[in-house]
Amino acid sequence: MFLLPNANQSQMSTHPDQRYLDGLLRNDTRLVQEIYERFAGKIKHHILQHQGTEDDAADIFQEAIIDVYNQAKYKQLQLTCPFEPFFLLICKRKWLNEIKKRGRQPVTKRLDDVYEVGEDVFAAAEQVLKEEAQAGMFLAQFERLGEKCREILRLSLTGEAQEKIAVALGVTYGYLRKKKSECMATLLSYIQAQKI
Amino acid sequence: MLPEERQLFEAALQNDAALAAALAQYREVTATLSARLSPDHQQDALKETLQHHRAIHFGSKGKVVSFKRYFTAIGAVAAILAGILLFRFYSHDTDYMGTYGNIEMQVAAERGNNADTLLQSAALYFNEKAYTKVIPLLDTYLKTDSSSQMALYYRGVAATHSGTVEAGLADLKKVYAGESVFKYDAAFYIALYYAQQRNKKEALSWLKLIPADAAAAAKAAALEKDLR
Repeated sequence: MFLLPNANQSQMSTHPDQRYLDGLLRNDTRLVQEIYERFAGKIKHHILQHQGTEDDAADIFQEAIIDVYNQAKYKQLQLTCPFEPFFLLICKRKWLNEIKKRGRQPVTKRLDDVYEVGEDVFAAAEQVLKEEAQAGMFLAQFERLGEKCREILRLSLTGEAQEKIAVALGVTYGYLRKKKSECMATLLSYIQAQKI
Repeated sequence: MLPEERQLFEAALQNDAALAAALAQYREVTATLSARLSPDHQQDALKETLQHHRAIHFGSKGKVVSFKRYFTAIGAVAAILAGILLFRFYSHDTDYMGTYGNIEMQVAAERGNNADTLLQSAALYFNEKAYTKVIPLLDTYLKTDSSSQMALYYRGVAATHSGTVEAGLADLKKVYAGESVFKYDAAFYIALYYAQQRNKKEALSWLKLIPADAAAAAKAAALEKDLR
């Protein structure tokens, strides 16, 4: 099982493999090397066996590492299960999603064919995938906004003071507030439409 | 919001599930975008490291060729290798840069923003060996992210090829002094530069800094053997 900030952390202890997450946050090159040495071959084999290429495997592997990094950094993910089955399951699930996206028929074979994964590992991997898919969807909908809206929201959401933004964009403070509110409403409507 | 307004709003939240859900979604969206739209230099550095390892652990897929073509190809490669070895034996070849200095710049660009475009353009010129065009692009990139060890490394290499050797070596030494994935590649390139200048002592001293488990260790051992 893994913990989010609002979970009752006292009931679960962090797994020693949390070092992988900490290492990714520090960009510890030796640890990244270890991750590649230990798991790249396994993922390459899996993806080549399931309609993919070596480039696909490299992409999935890299994206999975960034997903884990994002969860560790922005969601304070704490690992309470071993890293290996957790990470490999994320890669395999991502590849399954990619096959579906490409309109191919996924092979009806169990994804955990190599590793017997426990419920805790499964839940942790699923949560990472769900959170990252959601963040990706938010960003995709943000990109659909007009340039002005994107600029206003980007500056507002990344901590710039409203007064400074108004000056930078050459608009009044009142206009900025109104426009920001409209842009946010549009964004939320796009996001809501994706959920229906 | 005034305290009275806040109280009314909180009361409405208790009684209106749709309003509470909308507020929760608003908070989730703003929190996520605040984090993901802010520059993340840590993530950029991690991506550089990943790109480096990608090249090592995921090579390009071998093509299926017929046995006849396969053996013909092996024969051709063997003949070329024999030619190179004979040439080097008789000419006491010291073109270390030609032997070990073929470096390709690889970049990981996902978002397609301006910084990524700069890196991609720099990589195109770098891989075409148009080094003088690389330097201004990486100068601009380093103004936005001065911590990028990848940009420093490739700018250092480009500079040693375009007449600004001192600046290039200074960049490479900075990379070596850091802790990035390019650390030992930088040490190797400095050694290679000195080897090419026939400064054997300096070249060997830089090669000694490369540990056996570094990605550049095999090249370093080969160059050391050539120098001795």
